[in-house]
Amino acid sequence: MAKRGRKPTVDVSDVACPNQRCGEHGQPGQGNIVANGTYQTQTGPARRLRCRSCGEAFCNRTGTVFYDLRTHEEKVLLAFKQLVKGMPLRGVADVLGTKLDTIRSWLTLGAAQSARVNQRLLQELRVSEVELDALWTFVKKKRLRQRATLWRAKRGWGSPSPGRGG
Amino acid sequence: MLAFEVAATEAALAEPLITRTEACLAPVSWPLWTSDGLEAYGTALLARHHVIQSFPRTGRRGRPRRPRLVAHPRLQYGQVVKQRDMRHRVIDVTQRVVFGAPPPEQLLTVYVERHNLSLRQENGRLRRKTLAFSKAVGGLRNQLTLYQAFYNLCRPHRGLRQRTLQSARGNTWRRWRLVTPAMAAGIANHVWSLRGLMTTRIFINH
Repeated sequence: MAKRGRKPTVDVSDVACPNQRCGEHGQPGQGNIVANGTYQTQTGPARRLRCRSCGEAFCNRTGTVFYDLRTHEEKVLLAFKQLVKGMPLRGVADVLGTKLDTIRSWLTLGAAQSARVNQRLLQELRVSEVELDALWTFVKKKRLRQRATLWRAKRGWGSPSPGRGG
Repeated sequence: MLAFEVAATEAALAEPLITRTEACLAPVSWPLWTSDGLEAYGTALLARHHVIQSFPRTGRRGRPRRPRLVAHPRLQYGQVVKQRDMRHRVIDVTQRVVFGAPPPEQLLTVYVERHNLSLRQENGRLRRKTLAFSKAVGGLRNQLTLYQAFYNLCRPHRGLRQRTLQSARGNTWRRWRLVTPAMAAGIANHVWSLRGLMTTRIFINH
């Protein structure tokens, strides 16, 4: 049986229109956002919203990393937490029971969101000292090593060792 | 952690790293720059902050001196140069003022070197002697971008914590207030949660 009385009003005062062509884009509390139903996600019901100014329909996950993800939010957050605590991608995929490509795509989404936050917050800082330093690591070194070995062999600087990947 | 850059050599790293760092700073600020003994940082700083020094005509014979680039009077830059022995152990550290006149005792790279250790500890891709290294530059950039936001906003820094006094029922005891680098810089007023970081809507008007 349906509940009696008026439906609870949805608080949309902190939601802004994500449509860049809208005149009220990014301005919360203008009264242009109205609730427009719900839909089910793994995490629970998600609120569907609509902008009265431009007619754009969106949801409460638009603009976050969880938009268009089919996975439970806690699982995605757990993956991020493991990534920033030093676990490799394959380790996270093993622990959470997901595919490696899924974790990689979540990392791309998380990095894009982090870049937006960094860009917004890290500006016009007043700092007195800046320290610069370099950190050595390597990215896909095998091909470089292969090329170096071939280069050395071409000049007769020693034969390529068979046990070192080429 | 203001900025990072991924490059093949340290010389190729200096210019874009300084550009990215300066994009975060207030336009009128002239911080003291400190680095290791690599010349590329000094060259990049000079290329960005310089004035042209011209020489008056002497009236004597010969070609007049050509104008040259000199560092901006407000630019302060120094290097911390380490000397190592045959076993790569540090045996001496000397401070070298390159531009401006900063006090040599202020020239330090200890904080960034400690930060490098945190980076290696908390990023599987940067850990030494493991197979978790990056297989593509894009993956390394993504990981570092995520870690940069997490480090600045979500991860309390032990060296920045503040001592506060709390009292209840007539007893007073000391407690520590956790502070993140963003809070210390005045751009955040609380420790962000990872969920907060991932669900903050940023509207960038193009």
